[in-house]
Amino acid sequence: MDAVKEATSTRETFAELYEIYMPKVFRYIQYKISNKQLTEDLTSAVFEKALVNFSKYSSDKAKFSTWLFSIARNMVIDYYRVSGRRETTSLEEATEISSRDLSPEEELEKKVELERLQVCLVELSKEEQEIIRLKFGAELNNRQIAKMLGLSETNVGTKLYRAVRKLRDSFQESENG
Amino acid sequence: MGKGTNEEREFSESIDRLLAGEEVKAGEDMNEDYRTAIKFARKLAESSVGPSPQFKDQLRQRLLQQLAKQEAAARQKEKGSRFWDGLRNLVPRRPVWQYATTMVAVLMLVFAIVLSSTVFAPSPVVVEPVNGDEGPIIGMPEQDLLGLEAIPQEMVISLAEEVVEIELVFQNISSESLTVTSFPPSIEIIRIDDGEVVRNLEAGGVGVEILQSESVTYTLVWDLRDNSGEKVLPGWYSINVNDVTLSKAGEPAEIHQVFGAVAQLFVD
Repeated sequence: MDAVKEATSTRETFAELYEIYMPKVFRYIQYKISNKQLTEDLTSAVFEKALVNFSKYSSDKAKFSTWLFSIARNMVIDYYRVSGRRETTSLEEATEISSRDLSPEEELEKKVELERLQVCLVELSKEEQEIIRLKFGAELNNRQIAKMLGLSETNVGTKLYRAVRKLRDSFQESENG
Repeated sequence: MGKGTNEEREFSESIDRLLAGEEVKAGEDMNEDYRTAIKFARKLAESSVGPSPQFKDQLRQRLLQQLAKQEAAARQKEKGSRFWDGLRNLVPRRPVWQYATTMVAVLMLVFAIVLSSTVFAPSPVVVEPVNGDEGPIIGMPEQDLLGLEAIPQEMVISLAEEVVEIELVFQNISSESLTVTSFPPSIEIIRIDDGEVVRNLEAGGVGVEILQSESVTYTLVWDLRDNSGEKVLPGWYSINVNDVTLSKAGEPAEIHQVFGAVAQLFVD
């Protein structure tokens, strides 16, 4: 019965972590991959990989979120490497949004806004893009981002502030132009 | 610490609060650049769209099934390793005794093979013909006459569910018509962890003819209860079809075909 208890506990733990992190992983990938089907496929692949390696994860070495988003980050990098695609976004291939609790008008408005954001995002440096994705998609704190990108926490704060302002300016320009 | 660094730190803290769903307002003492950056960060936080509930549920279900499979495989492996460890402990450590043990084991193995091939050779299942004229007929088919596929072959089911349904498709793969004399055949549901038969489903009394290449489907409905009517424990269960009684068209003899485990399900 111990094995059953242990298995139930592992399932419960994994189910809880899934509830918390799955939407964040999805949003993180969505910031990078503008196709909904592909975002879903990569999100699935991230969790499948996490599941296979779940027994090897040690909370002493890293926080679960840092570990999980390292998998997500590598998965997206691998996708671009294998498919030979460039990390750019065009309006033609931008995300199909499907969200609940939104009227069709709001949905359309949100879709257009997200498309513009994705286009503006690729104008930032690679590092700035990653910081934006890890902050607003994955919702990591500066310490976790610093650990993933090999930067100091203060440095992440500086770069985040700069990246948001650059993105804001670029977004405003696209709005006016 | 400079003004810039303070501003950056406050900006990061404000974004973390925004993402946590708190209301954040830039103070009046902050400059326009900072205030518009906060406003834009709010837009960024609100712009991202989450996964659809359908995708979220489907992926969750799939992952939990995968996890159940992984755990079952790990348990199986652990059982195997315990068996070999136990066996290893039986062998003494000193070389002389190791040699003696090996010799005894080899002799016992040879003896067992000789014995089983002479004394304990299996006798075929004999079934008396219905009309009694043709003499005894061997009951086990030389090759399978009937194919059996369970749909699904593996699944995860919550203990909270009322029933689980598994389709058993019996296909006539012989070159002539067959009759399953007691349809549906008897079914055993076995708990894999300890091999206990938790539920017996008796064979039906109907004879069903299956033409060549045709199939007949029986939907097994299990209420996830054992023979005493109690809900079963969580774990892996196998659906076993142990004996299907058949007869060929125009031949009175009964033929028995054994399928064994045809499906496995994890009761969660």
